[in-house]
Amino acid sequence: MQNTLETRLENTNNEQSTKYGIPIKYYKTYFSLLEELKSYYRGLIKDDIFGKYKNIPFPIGLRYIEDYLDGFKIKYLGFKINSINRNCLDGLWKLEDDNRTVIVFFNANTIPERQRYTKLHELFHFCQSIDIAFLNYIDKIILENKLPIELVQKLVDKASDKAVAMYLMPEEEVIKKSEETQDVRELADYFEVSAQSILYRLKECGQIEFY
Amino acid sequence: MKKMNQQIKKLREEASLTPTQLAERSNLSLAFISKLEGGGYKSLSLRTCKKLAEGLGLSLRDFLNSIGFLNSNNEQPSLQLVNQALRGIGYTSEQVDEIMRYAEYLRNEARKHK
Repeated sequence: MQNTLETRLENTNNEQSTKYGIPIKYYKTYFSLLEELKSYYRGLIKDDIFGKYKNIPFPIGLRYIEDYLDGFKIKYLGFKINSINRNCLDGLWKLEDDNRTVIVFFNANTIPERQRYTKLHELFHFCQSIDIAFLNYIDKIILENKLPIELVQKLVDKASDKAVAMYLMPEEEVIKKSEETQDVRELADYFEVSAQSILYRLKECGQIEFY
Repeated sequence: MKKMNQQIKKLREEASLTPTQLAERSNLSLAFISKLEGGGYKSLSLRTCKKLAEGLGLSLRDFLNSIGFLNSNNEQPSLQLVNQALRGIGYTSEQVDEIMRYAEYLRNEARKHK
């Protein structure tokens, strides 16, 4: 009985020692690495993906990242899985044996905005897989034991999420539009993202303090 | 397959470009190109690869393929991890393999109905 109680207390303490799902012990390292990756993607998206375009219509489609990945043939293939389960699969990607065709599988049982998000998320994972410096950077984190492997996985996935947010909601446009309107629904509709996504991005761009 | 630096030098020569011309067309410095061809860099970022591809008049895919990155049996732990990112959202490796098989099945079905 005592052991059970001790275990429960221990588990409770462990649960309390996390912040945003990251154990306090790794919190600083995790977010500092994430900031570095965000900074890298900021440059890649702003200068390299969007840099050559003068006017980009909103909401932003997939063509800009597809253009960036020139030479690759990108195919999207929808599948249907009941998405009631939060952990339900949204998407995955695969490079075919011809080293040219990238297949992005996505859950077609979601709203179009979610499908666009999933396709982009997978394409940014594909970008990670062909980025030698990125892979070496992640290798270094693994080999130097800076984070446990499950947190490195989380970091890689989160980096892809951040890249999608920067792609769909570029900082300059977020600032410009948020000066025109403070209506969250209007902003979300403009970028065709969820209210939660735009609120988070507004905070990241320094337009709101709390979220 | 030649080493990355030798391969890039070969691509430059095939494109009849001097290091200075490649630097200008890629928007990179001559010092960078010289160091790169001399084997001074072990890895390149996607951003730099894209610039070099543009400078050489190649698509990103053809550049990466030419330097052997797409063909290599890359066993970097990070690549395994990126390829298996699904595991991070609560799937076991067996479930991911099953999902991949299902996805393959869907693709084959789509091909049949074209």
